[in-house]
Amino acid sequence: MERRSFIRNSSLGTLGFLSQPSFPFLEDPLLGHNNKRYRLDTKWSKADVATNPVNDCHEMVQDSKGRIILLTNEVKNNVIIYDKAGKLLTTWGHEYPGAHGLTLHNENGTDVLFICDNSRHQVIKTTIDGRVLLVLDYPKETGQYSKAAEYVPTETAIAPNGDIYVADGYGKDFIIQYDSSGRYINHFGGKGSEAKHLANAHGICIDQRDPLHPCLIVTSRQQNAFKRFTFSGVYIDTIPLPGAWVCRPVIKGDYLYAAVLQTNTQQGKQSGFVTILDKNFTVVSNLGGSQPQYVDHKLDEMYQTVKYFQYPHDVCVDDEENLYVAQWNSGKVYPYKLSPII
Amino acid sequence: MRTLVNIFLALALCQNCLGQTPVQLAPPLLKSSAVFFKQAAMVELKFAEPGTHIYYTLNGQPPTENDKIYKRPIKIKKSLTTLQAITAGAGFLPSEIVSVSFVKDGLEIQSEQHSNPNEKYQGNGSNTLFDNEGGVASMKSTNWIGYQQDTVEITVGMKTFQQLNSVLINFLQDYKSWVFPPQIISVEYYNQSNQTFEFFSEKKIELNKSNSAPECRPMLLTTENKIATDRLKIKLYGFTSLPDWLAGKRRHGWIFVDEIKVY
Repeated sequence: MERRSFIRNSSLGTLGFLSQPSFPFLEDPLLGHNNKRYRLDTKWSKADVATNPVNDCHEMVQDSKGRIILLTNEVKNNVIIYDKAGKLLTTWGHEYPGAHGLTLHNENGTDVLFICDNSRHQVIKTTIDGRVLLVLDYPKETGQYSKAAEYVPTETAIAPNGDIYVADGYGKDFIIQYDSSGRYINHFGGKGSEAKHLANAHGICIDQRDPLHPCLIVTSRQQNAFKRFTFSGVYIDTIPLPGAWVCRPVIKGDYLYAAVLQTNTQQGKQSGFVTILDKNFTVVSNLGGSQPQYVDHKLDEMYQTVKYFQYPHDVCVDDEENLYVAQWNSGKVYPYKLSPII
Repeated sequence: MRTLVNIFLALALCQNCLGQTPVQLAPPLLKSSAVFFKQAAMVELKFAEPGTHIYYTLNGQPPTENDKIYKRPIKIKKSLTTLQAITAGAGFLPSEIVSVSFVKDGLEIQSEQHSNPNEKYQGNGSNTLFDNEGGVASMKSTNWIGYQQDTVEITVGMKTFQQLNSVLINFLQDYKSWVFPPQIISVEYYNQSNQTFEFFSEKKIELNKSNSAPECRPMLLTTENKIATDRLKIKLYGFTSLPDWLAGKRRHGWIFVDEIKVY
């Protein structure tokens, strides 16, 4: 901050002849609004592209040791484990060509991972170092599927009682509920025109911020919205996010964070940003996006303003409130890190 | 001494300038009532990023920071007006251009007949080419009639026998979906005294290499002198081979039309 203001001030005087002295270079830009503002570091990952390349960086989580875990559909290293400073610690996984969803669950004190694989049409539960514990095949028990190809799971969420919720976001848009051992319990959502239906159910999470009313939040990305459901699948309400192709909801503290893959009016044009909602589901900050504005309690259409990101696909919030942003189809870039400005 | 320090600083900063990548702004959000209008169209631009402005033109020229700064919704009245806008400021690189063309209603069309389109893209009823609906740069809009053939013929019957001198046809261009404007548009008018169709106007279209996003391409064909008639015959000749710079070159393209205006 000091260096920036010094440069700005100097530029007003003798340095005024410089063409763009206050240019917001990628090295040091400030993003966001209100109390959620960040400094962007595009060079966080210290991985060597020759030995540890990435393809689409789909999702990221932090484990209980504080490490940052990235899931990519690059089978040379489907899982890359970093420390918070971006140093590559270890990698594993060569058998997840469609690696898409990554959820961490602390199971009686032990970290486990749930991977959704688009190409394998499966959900795979593993230990933190990659040993397979459980594989969920396509949910024929629902009576909605006749073959594996119809099922393209994108995300999982694990309830406090251990139940597994799978979002079939690139398949039939059902949410399928299993018990912790993988036994089918229920399904809901699906495609359709009613409020309870989903269009590209790309993400799902457990929201326990209101301890009296815990619920599921599900992405309906083509509808530019989140939808809330009870744990038994009863539709509660819709949180419209006009203009924003939101990926999965990620809750940390009082806030909900989500990568926005792209702006509705600029589809296919690297028009993504990151959105942050408070616990009342009011958008308080857009990183690389328009300043959130409400008119008569209705959110104005949101859009990208600065091209810091191309296609953000997930946000991970670490124990120090730093963000890590994984991007899809963005020139195989490693994740970016954003540090909060206090 | 102070000057020397400043010069040193300037040089150091300059080296930074060269070594780093500046960030580009995104284009403004564009909201308009309708592309086809009778009296006037309203268009609103939005861009909520502090320290930046929206610059726009209505003369067909690409906007720069020397053009008009957008302050309030713009009223469009002129027959074929293309609004182009960018954002710039706060030290960012200016955005790409967004543009939209507005088309004013023309002389009254009585009826229209066209070659059989592809069954998936049949348009919106018998008035689909003169209903003032559409102008949406997406194949999904149901107003388009779509063809995957070399030659398309459209005959337009005017409400009255009258003087006219131009025809506007709105096409979709969406390279990714293999939708192109025709390579040649030829218009003939019905000469009542000779009882034949005769030359009215012709246009050859170049594909715009730089812009690959889906867009509407309204084409205006004009004669020098007004001609009295009640019928026009429009022939569209598609690109039979596509240029090399398009991926998957030399495949057959589609033609999509959604509106015709006569002035």
